[in-house]
Order: sequence, then C-alpha cells, then structure tokens
Amino acid sequence: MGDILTLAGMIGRSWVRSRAYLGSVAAGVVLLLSALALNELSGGQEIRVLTSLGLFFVGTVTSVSISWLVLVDFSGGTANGELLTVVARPISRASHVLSRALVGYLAILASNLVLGLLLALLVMASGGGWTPNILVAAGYQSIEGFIMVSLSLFLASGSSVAVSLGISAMFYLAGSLAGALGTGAGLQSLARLVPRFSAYDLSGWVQGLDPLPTLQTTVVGIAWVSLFLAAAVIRFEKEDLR
Amino acid sequence: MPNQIEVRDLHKSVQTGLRSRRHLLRGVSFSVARGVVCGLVGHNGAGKTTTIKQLIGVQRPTSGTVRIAGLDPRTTGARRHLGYAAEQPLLPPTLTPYEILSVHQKLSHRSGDVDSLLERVGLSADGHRLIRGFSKGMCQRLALAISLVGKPETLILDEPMSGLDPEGRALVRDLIAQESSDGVTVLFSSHNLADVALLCSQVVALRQGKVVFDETRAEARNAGWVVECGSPIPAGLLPPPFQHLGPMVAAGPPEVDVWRAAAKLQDHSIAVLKVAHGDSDLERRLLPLLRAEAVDG
Repeated sequence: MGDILTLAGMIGRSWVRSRAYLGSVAAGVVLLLSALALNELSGGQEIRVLTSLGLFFVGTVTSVSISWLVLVDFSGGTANGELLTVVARPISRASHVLSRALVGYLAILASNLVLGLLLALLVMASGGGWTPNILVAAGYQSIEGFIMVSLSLFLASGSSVAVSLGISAMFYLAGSLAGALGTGAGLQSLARLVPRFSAYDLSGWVQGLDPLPTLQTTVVGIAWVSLFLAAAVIRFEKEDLR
Repeated sequence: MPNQIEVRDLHKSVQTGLRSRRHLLRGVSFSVARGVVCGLVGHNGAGKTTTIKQLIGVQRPTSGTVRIAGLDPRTTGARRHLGYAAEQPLLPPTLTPYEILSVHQKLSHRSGDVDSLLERVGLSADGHRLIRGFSKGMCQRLALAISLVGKPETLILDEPMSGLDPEGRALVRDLIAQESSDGVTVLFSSHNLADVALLCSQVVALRQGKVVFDETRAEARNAGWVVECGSPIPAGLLPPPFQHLGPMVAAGPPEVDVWRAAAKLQDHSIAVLKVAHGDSDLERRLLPLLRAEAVDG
C-alpha cells in the first residue's frame, strides 16, 4: 500500500503542476456556465434544464477528460520509456496500475464534487433554492468516471495512445447511448455489453421525478470498475515494456 | 568469485506481423563476476538495449535465463539489488530532482541521503528546480543519481555517457570507477570503445543478437602485441608468429620479442608509430568482429 501511495503522490503532483487536471476542471466550469446561459434561453423550463444539463455536463467532462488524462499519461509513459526507471524498482507492477487508478478516482470525485457545488450555487442563484441533492448526484455520477478510468488503464497497459483513445471514445459513446437504444433483440444484446452510463445520472431524482437508483445499479457499476481494473493489472503484469 | 550477473542462452523475438517474427537475441550467454565493470558493446541493433531490458526484468525472454545475484530479475527480490539508468532518460518534467529521488528512495525501501546523491552527480544547485528546464546532460546525470538510490549491488547503465559533455563524461567515468571500488558490479553499454577500454575489466560484444566477443582483462593481456607503422610493412619482414592485420599493422602472440621486431622495422627505415598490448587496442580487435549487416528481419 505504501508503494501505491508513493506513486500516487508523484502522479498527482505531476498532474496538478502540469495544469492538465486543472484544465479539465476549468472545462467543466465553462460548460456549467454555458448550461446557465441555455437555462436563461429556455424560458419556462428554468431550473429543470439547468439541473439536468448541468449534471450531464459534470459527468461527461470529468469522465472524458480525466480518463483520457489517465490514458495518455500511462500509455505515453510506457511508450516513451519514462516508466522504465520506476518499473525497475522493487515494486509490483500492480502498484503502478493501482496508483494511477487511485489518482484517477480521486481526481474524478474531487472534480464532480467541486463542479456539483458550483452547479448547486448556480441553481440557488437562479432562484431554485439550496439543493444539496445536487452534490449527492454529482458524487454518485463519479461511478461513470471510475468505469472510464479503469477502462483507460486496461487499454493503456498494452496498446498505443491512438488505439486506446479510439476504443475508449467508442466505448463511452456506446455506454452513453445504451439506455437510448431501441427495443430490438440485437440492440438490447449490444446494450448489455457496455455499462449504461445514464443509470448514474440522478438529475431525475434531484427534481423529485425518479426514485433513488437501486443497490443493483451501484453494484453493477462497481463490478465494471473491478473487471477493467483486474484486467489492467493482469495485462500490465505480462506486458514487455519498450 | 560468484557471478552477480548470469545470462544463459537468452533468446528474444518479437512479432512483427501475422506470421513474421524478428529475432533480437539469439542465444546470448555471458556472466559478470561480483565487483567487475563490464562493457556491453555492439552496433545499433546488435541487441544491447534488449539484453539490458531482460536484465532489469522489464521484458520477458522468449527462452533462456537471466539471474541477478542468483534471482530472476522479474521478481522484486532481485530488483532490490539493482540500479538502472536508461539511455536518453525521460523524467517527469514537472517534478524536481529532489522530489523524484525521494520517491525512488521510498520505492527502493532503503534509507539514504538525497543531498549526497545530487552532489555526486553535480546537481546540488539544481535539486529544487523543475526537470522541465534541464538539458539532456543534466537529465542523464539525474538518471545516474536515480540508479544509485538504495546503494544497489548491481548497476545496469544503458549508454550512460551518450550526449554528455567532456566534463559530464569524466564525472560518469569517475562514478563508475568509484562504485566498482566499493564492490558494485557495473554493466554498461556504450559505443565509445575508449571509455570501455579505460573502465572495464570485462568486455562483451554483441552482433546480430549473438555474443561475438567476451573477454576479461586478464585474458586480454594474453592477447599479445600490436605494432603499428607509418608505412607499409614489407612481406616477410616480420615472419610468423606475427600476422599482418593490415598493410601497416602487425600483431603477434604475447611471447614474441616485440621490441626486437620494432628495431628490425626501424633498421628498414619503417617508422614504428605504436607498440601496444592487445587489450589497449580494443577498437582494432573489436571492429572486424562487430562489422556486419543490419539485423535481419
């Protein structure tokens, strides 16, 4: 565990100083402000649009930007040899994967909570009152990001940056559309092969329209995270580093 | 003396297409005794870096065995004894040398003094600057400092002197010599045969993934004499056991009276430019062995 924390500290510091992480949070802030502008344009819809769009933007921007940050950092480090010096130390390869996972998960949770807080403040400023459930929803939405970070680690542990980015983008698109796929047997089967990211969007619950997600939804999300993470560890253990 | 590094019948091939494989190592075998400085030489593509990557356990051999202090380098136990510096090291640009050395100190699970490491590689004044602004030579020095973290028993250095200025090269040479005098086994790859001749008590040369030369200094001293002249040596002037290596160069076994031969050449108005032991003429002996076409596909 000590090795994982040491590596995570190094990676986290590097992310913050390179401003890559702060850039992703800034992108979230810009999107939230654009949600506010759209809310102004929506007339009678008001708070509902701001909440739904805001939570959608929060989930998307953190999942995409941070999972890609993890992917480029890990895959690039493997390809250019930056990782060699560290891998030659007496630590397990699993530590490398798990430390990156830890940094990615914490970064997603922190981003979602910060952006969720900003969204709650925007809702309050728009006359919707203080809605702490937005923070809960933003935090829960982190599961979507966790899945994407774990997938990125799996892809980056053995594939090139370009291939990994392509597959990860397609996977995210499929996961985002999974809930909207038609009722045909083929489409339903396809939808089962990817996680349904819409299941982690609690904007309906925040507005009192939907119930809280079932425990099963959460367990399925954690199962996807664990599956990709385990696969990443196994793949990186076997990988010949260049 | 027990061997610190053991490489036996090492093969490494990589897939290059659906049905094609490229053979990078073809049965490499050598061993390095504890405390010895070994130079690994060979042209580009000869297999030096591939061999080193098997030695530090970041690649899995196709077949054959590698042992560091008797242990498989893919185990964490073996890597406790190991320090490694990469060729053209890429280091996290947004960290400082002090931070990165502290991280490696923790990962090596051994105590040590970061300041003294920075001082040894001449980076004391830059310890708290971001690596982003470092020159190639400074990164190379930092990579060396990283390799020394945890006082390893074995140092594996991939072209540690490439890209360094003369002062930097001297620093690396001193550092290798100092580590060796402390009993550390050092294996480094290099294209510079002068550095290898100066520092190494063992030289291993690779060509097309095979060992073509593996000699300790004691053996090299028995390699005989080399006589280099300023004009062509007439046929028959230096009879066997002398051999002509070129029109103006001849070599003989250690037992020949080389000074008498030199006097004979001068009697025939042939200027003798150099009389040397075989081992001090490493380049001349190695170059014909290393000369080969590029590694096959």
